[in-house]
Amino acid sequence: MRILILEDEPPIADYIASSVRSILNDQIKKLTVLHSIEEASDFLSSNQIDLLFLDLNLSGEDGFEILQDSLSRRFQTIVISAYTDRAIKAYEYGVIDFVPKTLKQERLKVAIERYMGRSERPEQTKYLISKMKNKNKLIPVNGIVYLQADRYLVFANLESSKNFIIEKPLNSLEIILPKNFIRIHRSYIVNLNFVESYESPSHGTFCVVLKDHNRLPVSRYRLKHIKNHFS
Amino acid sequence: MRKVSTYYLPLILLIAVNCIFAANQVDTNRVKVPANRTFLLYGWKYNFGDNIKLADPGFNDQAMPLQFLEQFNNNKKGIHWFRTDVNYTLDEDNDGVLSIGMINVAMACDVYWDGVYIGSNGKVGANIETEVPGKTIAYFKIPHELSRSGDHIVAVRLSNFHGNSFSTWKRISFGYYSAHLLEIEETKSQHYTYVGIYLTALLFSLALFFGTGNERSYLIISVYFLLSSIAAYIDYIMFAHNYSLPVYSRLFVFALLAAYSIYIFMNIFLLFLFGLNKKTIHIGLMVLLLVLCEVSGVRFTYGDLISKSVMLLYSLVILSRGIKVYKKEALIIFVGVIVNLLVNAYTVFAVSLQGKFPMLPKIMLGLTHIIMLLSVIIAISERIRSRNTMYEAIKLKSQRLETELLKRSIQPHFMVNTLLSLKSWLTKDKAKAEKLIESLSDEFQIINKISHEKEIPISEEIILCRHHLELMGLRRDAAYKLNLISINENDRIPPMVLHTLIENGLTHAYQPKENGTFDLQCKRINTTLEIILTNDGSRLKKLGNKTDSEIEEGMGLKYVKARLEESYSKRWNLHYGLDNGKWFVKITINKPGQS
Repeated sequence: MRILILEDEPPIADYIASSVRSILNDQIKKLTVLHSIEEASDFLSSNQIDLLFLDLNLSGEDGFEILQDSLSRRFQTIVISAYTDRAIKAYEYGVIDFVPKTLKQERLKVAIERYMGRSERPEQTKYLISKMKNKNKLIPVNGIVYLQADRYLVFANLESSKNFIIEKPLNSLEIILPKNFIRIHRSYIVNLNFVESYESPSHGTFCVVLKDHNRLPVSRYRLKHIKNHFS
Repeated sequence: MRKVSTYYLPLILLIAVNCIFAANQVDTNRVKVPANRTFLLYGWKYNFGDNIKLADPGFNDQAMPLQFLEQFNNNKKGIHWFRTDVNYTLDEDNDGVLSIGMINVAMACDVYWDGVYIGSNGKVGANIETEVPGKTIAYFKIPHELSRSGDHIVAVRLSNFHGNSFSTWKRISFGYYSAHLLEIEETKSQHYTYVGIYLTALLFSLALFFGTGNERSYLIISVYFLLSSIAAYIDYIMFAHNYSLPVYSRLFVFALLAAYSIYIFMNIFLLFLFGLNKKTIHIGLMVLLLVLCEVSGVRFTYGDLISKSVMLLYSLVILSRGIKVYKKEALIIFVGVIVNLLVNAYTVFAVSLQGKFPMLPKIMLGLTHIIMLLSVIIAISERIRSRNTMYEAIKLKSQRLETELLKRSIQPHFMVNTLLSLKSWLTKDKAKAEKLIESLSDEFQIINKISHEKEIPISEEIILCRHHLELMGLRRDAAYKLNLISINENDRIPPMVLHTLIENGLTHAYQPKENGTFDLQCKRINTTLEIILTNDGSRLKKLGNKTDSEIEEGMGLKYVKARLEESYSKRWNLHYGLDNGKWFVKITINKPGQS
């Protein structure tokens, strides 16, 4: 696991680093500690990471702009902040977790569990963030009909038949999206609110019929989720 | 507005009812003589030069010109004749004595009733040597046998060699002798009451002046009340002492000057009350208007009614400007001014019709004084009330700033971050952890001491800043310095102003682990204190040449500005920007009385 810690107070950054190390031990492939946004964007332009620990109030900058920026990226984000009143908004934007800055070891552990999909995350994501012409576009999740992976990219298909590119892989999205989004295929996550029925066009193949009569394939071993939904 | 109408509505209604009541009465030379009222005589025919035949009821006066008694003045010296007819019916049950009453008519006179000489006031003379001036007020009893109901002729022979050109307000009245005496007593007590009322108001306004930190508008209104009581007193002694006519004429000049000053002072008061500028120009204009009224001679017909109305109209001009800022006060005084203007207009109208239209009862004229006085007092109370509200608001703001100061220093995120750093240093470097605790407690001790102060010595603020820099150095793993360049330790500033600016500098100007230096410079130029704080942080340089208005201000700067405004309302200035690669904040404070 490649981890980046972005925190402007070095002693606190060190403290987070040592806590994360003690939780993940040898699962960490690389752990980097940086103190400023400038350093972080330099670093991210040439390095891949899986998880970012982000302080929401870096050197007096508006934390949410930086947060939206990181949430539009492929990696997942855990926010660490003393401003606990901002937690709800952060969840709405799709952070994995919001860890208040008392930074208890157990709480940090829960956040990492959530990242790994082993522990449930509060179902509060209201937006996915898509990067368009260097600007962050907030896409309300309740308008997304389905998400489709195509090689390294994911397309969010909207009710309005527009689509947006999301940089996060489907695996990551599965963790942060609300429960009405289910993975039906290696390449598809569907919003159950837009599913009308399911059918089997030929023996051994299955698909869901959307309200707009489009059809999406369903893998056989994920069929049970659909069946549960309609039973 | 509801409050204003509660005060005034009953009075306005009373005036209206009185007007209607008065209009239904007949007030001309054709009267049924009541027991306790007298009537002015109108319809005077005039002759300049002596001619005893004019006293004769049989004399044909058709060719004689009509003359308003009010317009008769002392510009033309000599012997003058006035005659008019009067027709009345008497109440048979009343066998009282009828009389002619005269107030301030020329200098000496002989009075004839149906051609019979009934008395003199002084001695009419053909020149100043032979003329003996009479008294201000004189009565001429009509013999019983001549006073039956029906038509009669009154003729008055006057001389005016001792008269001056100022004296106006003259009247010849008719009625029972007892009614004349009663009327004089009433007038005396009325003026005496005014003296009392105005003196009370004077004490009230003087108390306000000394009690509210010498506010000038209250001093001006005190002068207004003082002049009003002097004018009322002059009126009183004129009736009480019944001076000889030349003395009255001289007193009248004082009364006139007092009256004009009263109008002007009322408007000066309004200028001060509404905080209007160019007062000298206003005063000049008012004096000019009064001089114009005087020169035009309107006073000889209408007394001071016209000049008073002009000044009341001027009050309306001032009110129309004052209403923008002080709506309530302006409206309250507006009511007083309008009532006075209406009463004046009515009286001018009635005078111009020479008895064809009833005059307002004297009590009504008195009421207009009271209404004006009431509006001034209510407006002042309203001003005091709104001042108190404002004062409360300022006090509340001051308390909010104190709370803000405490909040700033114990913000949860500040505490949490400091404690987390402490947690980190405890495991890595115990000595630094100890130092962190010391700086935090030192900083808090000073904050606790200064939190409720409006100003503290700059030296104390510097110590606070140094503790904060030490603490932040430990948190951000860097070394920060505060250099002092020319500081006068006795200069005082609001608490946590420099602290907040330094806190802002640390947050925005420096990268973590970047060492930093702040320079503080204080200069005194006469009464102006100039404080310049610079930092050498690397991050703010990217702001380039942005001006003050292009940089969004955070809570810190808002706090600093609110503090400066609270302590030095509008006498301060704050600028910031880049200068020679260094970020600076420059505060200038004008502290009058200190240099």
